[in-house]
Amino acid sequence: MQSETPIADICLLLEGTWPYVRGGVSSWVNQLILGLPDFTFSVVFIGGQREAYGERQYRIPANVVHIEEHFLESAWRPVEALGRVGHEGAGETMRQMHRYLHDPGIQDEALGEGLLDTLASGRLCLEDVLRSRSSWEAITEGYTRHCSDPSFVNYFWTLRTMHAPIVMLSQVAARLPRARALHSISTGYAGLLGAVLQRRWQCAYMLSEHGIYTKERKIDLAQASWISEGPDEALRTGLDTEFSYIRNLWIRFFERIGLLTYRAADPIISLYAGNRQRQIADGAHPSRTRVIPNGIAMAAWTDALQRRPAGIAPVVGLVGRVVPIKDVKTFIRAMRGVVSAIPEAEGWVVGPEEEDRAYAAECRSLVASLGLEGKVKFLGFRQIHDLLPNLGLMVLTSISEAQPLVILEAWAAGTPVVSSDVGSCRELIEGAADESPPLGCAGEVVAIADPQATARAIIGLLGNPERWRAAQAVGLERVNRYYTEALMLDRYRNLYRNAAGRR
Amino acid sequence: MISKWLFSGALLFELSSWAAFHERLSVAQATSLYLGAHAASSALLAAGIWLLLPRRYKLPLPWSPLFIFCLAFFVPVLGAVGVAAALFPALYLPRRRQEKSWDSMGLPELPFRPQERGKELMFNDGGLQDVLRHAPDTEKRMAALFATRRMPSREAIPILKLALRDSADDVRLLAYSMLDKQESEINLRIETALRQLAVAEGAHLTALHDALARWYWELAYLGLAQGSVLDHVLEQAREHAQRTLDVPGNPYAHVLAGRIALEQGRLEAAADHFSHAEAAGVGVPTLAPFRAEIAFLQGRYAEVRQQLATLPSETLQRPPFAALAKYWL
Repeated sequence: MQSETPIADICLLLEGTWPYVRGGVSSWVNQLILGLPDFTFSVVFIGGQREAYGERQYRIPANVVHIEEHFLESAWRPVEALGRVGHEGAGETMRQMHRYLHDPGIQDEALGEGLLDTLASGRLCLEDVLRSRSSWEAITEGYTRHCSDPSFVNYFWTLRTMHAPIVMLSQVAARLPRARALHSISTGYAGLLGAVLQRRWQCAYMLSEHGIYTKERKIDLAQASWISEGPDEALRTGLDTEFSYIRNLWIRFFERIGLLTYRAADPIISLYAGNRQRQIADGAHPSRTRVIPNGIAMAAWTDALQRRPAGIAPVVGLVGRVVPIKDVKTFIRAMRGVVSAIPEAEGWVVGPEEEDRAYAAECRSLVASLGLEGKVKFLGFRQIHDLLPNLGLMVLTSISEAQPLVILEAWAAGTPVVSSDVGSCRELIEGAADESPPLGCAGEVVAIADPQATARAIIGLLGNPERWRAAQAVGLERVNRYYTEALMLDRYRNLYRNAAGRR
Repeated sequence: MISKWLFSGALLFELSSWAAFHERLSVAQATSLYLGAHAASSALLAAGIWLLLPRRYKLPLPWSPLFIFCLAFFVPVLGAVGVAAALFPALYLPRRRQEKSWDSMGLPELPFRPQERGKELMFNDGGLQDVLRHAPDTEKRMAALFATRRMPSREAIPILKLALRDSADDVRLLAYSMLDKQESEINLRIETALRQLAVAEGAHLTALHDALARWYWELAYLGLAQGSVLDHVLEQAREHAQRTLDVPGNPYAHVLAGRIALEQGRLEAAADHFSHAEAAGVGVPTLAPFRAEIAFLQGRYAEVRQQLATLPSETLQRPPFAALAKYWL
């Protein structure tokens, strides 16, 4: 559609992550940009509200040649409250948009394609969506046909709130300087922008998902209190599972824009097989999906084995922030059983406690009430390189994880791992189904929130030096073979090379 | 604005058309000059008025402007004056429009329209816990969790706790976030009240202690706190409840203190509190179930029966008392 010269190799589309937020995805993005210095990047950051993001948390590397930020909320501040009213607007376009995004019944690929074409053309303007007659007609039609929430006001404003950011993204796409290829790190708004840009630029579009965006949105929306419930909603008492129509409208919206992204992107990358299955279930074509696990830089760990104390240290560590989702309490309860069986054993909780002080206090009081003072210690934040070699065993009791890097780091430091069965932990510890030759278990996987089973697993490994050594060897082998940063970067370098069509 | 220019133009042309009679011109010249100027004047007048007309009179073209033009053109002077006299007052001094830009409507009494329903929409007999334990389909287990949103928290929380151990990540996360939401709401209230407590005085202070006791009690009652945390929460509730007891006018403070003591296993203290509550005017039927519980825990089974017997008969007919009544009475 355009023939301007690209300013960068890869255009990264980031929603609510790098460079403003610290966390798993952000550090991964940073790793990727720094690890591939021979590619140039342009970055589009999409956020909700400007105020929600403070200072940039990462320095912008030299190979980022362009960075722009857009906030969905600003899509939504028309300067003149009452402008010209009643211009016609593109009737067919509006109908198409409404039918693709909001019609509960149909899911027509052609409609989605049409919508992408419209967005890519950049013809759509805010006036069309917010104030045109055809938009009004599409809204009223949708309301009378499908909406089971009696409040037209709710329906009307919900749709406006959904559509304004879409127009904004379409306009962002029209102005964005050309890059050779696109890479989005989530579906959602960033993914949609990617699909629009792909249509405009006719270039390769890669999608990497760490979590599953649509799933996370769904869980948020199921409970969001900002969605007003109809008055009769409060009166319903039956144990039916229906959501209010407005809630469903939001969920459907994210599902459908997610689907647009899945149809446009190739390859669709996930961190582990479980998430890949999830993407396929959500509409990604199996042949386009692939798994590229995260990796850690091995250089930092070369001397870790030498730094280990002799023998098996009877020290069990939980490395992570002290927050409920890490389920530190289960770890503490498990330690009760471990200390009873191995009196010299210690449990270390390693991680910052600032995020949820109340929870941290609860954990401490649990330690006291279980008589584990002096046995379970809260070390706060520590340098992981110094700490991990001192652990005899690392335990992860999280309720949810994707692909925790700390497991890989523990292996690199020669520490076997006991983990709850979440995210890719089973795949990591027991090996992927297609691992050949099968290496064996680098620890043990236990059920979530099960202190007894966790304690059994810990005792089983600490009390059996042979098993422990085997697990250590498997861990070292597996992380070196499958989960190094070099391997991850290699795979992305190849993808980028093919996508950017150079070298 | 444009209309005013058009009207001025129309007046000028009309005046100039009369000039045709004063100048010494041939009949033909005078006629054509007059007709030309008159036509121009009429056209301008028609255009000016047309612009001001309400939308429903404007269209379809050309009829309304043509009509005005005809009046002005074919009835010289009188026509124009007539049109002006008929329309200008109406256009510039329109009738007061009825100011009614909104209607108040009652909510529709019946459901607005039939709701979309899934095929199996209710979990009737099996119970949500059984669905969570045995349903092979993740979606169905998720649905069971959603169904707890309309249950009383005390009943929903054990189900959510069960779901924390589900095999599917989605179910766990949902249960976790639903639990977390409930807990954080209460914790937030406690936090706010504690902050106010530092500066509060007099009656406000008592009210805050009462609120804190109730929120801590809520955490325990709902089952959000367990083990040592439960002990801690109950102890906090007790301390705050203690501060509200001496203030007259709140007999239910003793009821709360009694329930907390009961939960903590301090049975004598609980019985004391309930006696105080009764002396302060709380009805015997309100206290009877708790007293029955104390009696049961102390092994005085005959008194359990006595206490339950003081409950009004309609209370005994509904759950949870129906089953109790059947057994004890």
